[in-house]
Amino acid sequence: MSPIDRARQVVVEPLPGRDGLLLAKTIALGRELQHGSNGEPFVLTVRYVQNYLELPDQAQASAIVRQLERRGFLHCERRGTKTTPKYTRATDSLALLIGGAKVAMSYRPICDSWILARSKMKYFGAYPSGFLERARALLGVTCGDSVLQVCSGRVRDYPYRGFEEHD
Amino acid sequence: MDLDASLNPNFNLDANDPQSYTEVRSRAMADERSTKGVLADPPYNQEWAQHYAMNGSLPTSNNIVKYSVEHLLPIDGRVGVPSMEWQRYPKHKVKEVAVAVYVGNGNIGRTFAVFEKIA
Repeated sequence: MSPIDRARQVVVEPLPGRDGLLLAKTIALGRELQHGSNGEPFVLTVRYVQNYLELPDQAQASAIVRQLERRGFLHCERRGTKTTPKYTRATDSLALLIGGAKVAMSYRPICDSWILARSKMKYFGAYPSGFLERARALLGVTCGDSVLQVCSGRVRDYPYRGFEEHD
Repeated sequence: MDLDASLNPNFNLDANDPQSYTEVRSRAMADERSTKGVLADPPYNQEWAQHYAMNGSLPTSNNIVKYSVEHLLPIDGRVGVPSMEWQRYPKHKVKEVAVAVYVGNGNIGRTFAVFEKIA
């Protein structure tokens, strides 16, 4: 039995479409549990939903972990290697082992498949239709952020969303 | 950033040269607007590279990932590259996700890999 299975289980349920509230709720509960656990490890499992930007599970999970770390009450020790994590959980949730100073999270090297329409631009190698918006969401940037387009070609003429003012 | 000046890129630089990323970073710092992410679309192989005006110059996705992480991106910054192979990347400096991308029946499959700088 792994440390995660032995630890106390706590689940945070999201409010659909309200990821900010989910994060705040997670942080508040994590702080409360940390103070009340007397050093006993516990698993905080966040059941999350994809937000309107279609951020992937991995990116959203990473964002929550980072926020918890920045607030100073979670010290993460990622275990295992990239391909063989020591602890794994169901793919639809993020599990944190807090108090024991260890963290485990769902890990999916292949997180999605996109079947897209062909490019509508007359330029060899142009991005497929809908690719740029999805790719940008995976980068975790907003429309106001600056993204460097390398080997950009005619990306300025891309007819769909995804190329922004500061790119 | 593109090597083909006829496309009027903001940065007419070589993606295979680490100095290019340093220069982009300097410009971004001068504008007080740091680069939060890198999205690259290099030719997948030498055969594909022949279709471009730069006469077969092939910036590799390995170099783009490596130089972006080492010379340009802040911690938490991400670089995404579609490719037909899994990139080499700086060990212990990134974590990654991958998305399979397909366009139409009978067409090639690509892997869009995103690497996040963690150290």
